[in-house]
Amino acid sequence: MTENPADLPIPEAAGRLRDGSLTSVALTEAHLDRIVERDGAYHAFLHVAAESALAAAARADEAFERGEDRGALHGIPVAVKDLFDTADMPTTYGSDLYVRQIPAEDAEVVRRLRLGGAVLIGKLETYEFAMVGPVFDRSFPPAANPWDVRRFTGGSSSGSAAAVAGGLLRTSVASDTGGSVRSPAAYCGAVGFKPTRGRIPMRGVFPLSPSMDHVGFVSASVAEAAITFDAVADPPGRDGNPAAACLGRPLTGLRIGYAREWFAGDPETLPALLEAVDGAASLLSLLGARIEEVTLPAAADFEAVGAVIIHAEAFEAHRRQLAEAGDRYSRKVFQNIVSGLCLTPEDISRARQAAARLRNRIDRTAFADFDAILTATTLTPAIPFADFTGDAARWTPMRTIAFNVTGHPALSVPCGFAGGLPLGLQLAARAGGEATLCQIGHAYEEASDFAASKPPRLWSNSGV
Amino acid sequence: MAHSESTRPTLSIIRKRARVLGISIAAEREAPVLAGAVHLHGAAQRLDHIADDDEAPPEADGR
Repeated sequence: MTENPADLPIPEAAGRLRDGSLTSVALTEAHLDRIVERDGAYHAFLHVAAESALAAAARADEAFERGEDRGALHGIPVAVKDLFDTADMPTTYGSDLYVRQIPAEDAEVVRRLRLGGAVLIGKLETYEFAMVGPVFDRSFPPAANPWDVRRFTGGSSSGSAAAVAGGLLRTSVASDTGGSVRSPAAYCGAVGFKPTRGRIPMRGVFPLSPSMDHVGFVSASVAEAAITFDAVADPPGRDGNPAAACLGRPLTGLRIGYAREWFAGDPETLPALLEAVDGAASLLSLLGARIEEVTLPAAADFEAVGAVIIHAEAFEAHRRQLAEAGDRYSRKVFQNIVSGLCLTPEDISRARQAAARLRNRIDRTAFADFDAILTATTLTPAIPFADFTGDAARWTPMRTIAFNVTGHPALSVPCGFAGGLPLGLQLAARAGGEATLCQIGHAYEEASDFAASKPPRLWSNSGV
Repeated sequence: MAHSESTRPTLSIIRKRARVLGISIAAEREAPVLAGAVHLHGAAQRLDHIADDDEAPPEADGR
């Protein structure tokens, strides 16, 4: 059987683009065909820019012919969450309020993607203003989980996870404020990577909570997430390396703190999830890492701090628009943002002080002794859409927001299945520790192979 | 450490604050907004208990 170029991991596709056995135009056409074939079931894309993508691919091929090489994403199709401004494509922020908007400028990360020769193939579905979802009262549907299209993807980077898990793309650029990259990646069996806060500028990304917003990536593998990060990040500082710098290095000598009690005692934790993360700890130990249990501050403390900061900052970002056009928000998003109107400046100040204390405690307790922390990403697999039809937002249990509060880099990697649905583990590292994080995640991925599993073929024209 | 006691949100407070800001909340949306505001109030009350290691009281030793 001939291999479809859309399934080629980025390093392999990049090699073939350079040795002349594949063109960027052919690669882009393969991805566009995939989108046509499958996205009727997934609703991952809000906009597909076929014409401009093929033109960009042709330019990438011409540049290769001239001997120019712009880097690891040169000629590679990439899509971005529709929270990022794009000067040549509609940018909705997931809201009916902005369905006709075409911004004047690209977001900084989009500018860097183009500069690096990436082929921008379209815009990916997002929860409305990245706030809450799935919702069913917008003019477009939420993205569906490729492992079971009757289930949600998690969010807010819902389209990014559906596109990568469904084989439409190998990598995507998204954002993460409380787990918006890592949780959909876990629910959909993809890799979700949130770097250290501040490593990638947020200019041109609609703000949810400026104190906690991060650019992040949903990718088909840890290596592809690392490559995407390296292509758009600010240069590493004195303590940092490119995220791909340590891929393939042995784990011998690395110390990993297993934050097991952070999720094992939660009544919402699925036993199969606990078994999967325990299994991952054992496998990492076999790979040479030293694993010891570590006690972190209570997960509920991080959730309290994160909830206050996100809701206070989101309310401030939307205050004027809510007064002018509140009726054009979906119901749950309106309710969720407006619920922040009673928070006081003192509440916000205390939340920021508490965030600093929690960051210091993680640095002085966990990262003084360990190179990384291992824990769960979400506590359950993806939930059916039918469970989200009530009036109020439903919060799904996860352990992601802590690393938005602290700003430490974090990575979600597939670690097993429950009832045929993917599960994810989470790794976190010191600020600037992207290379260590990707080294560990990559070693686990190579040894376990869960990331290579593909969803069932539900995408045929079966009426879903 | 001083503990901050802010007022628990009520429908009356939410209506008044929304009116001042020019935000219209439909009647059927008021209950979920209040529930969310009460949840956030609870989260805010928890903040003062999040102490730095240096500020944490010593473990009880039975004395």
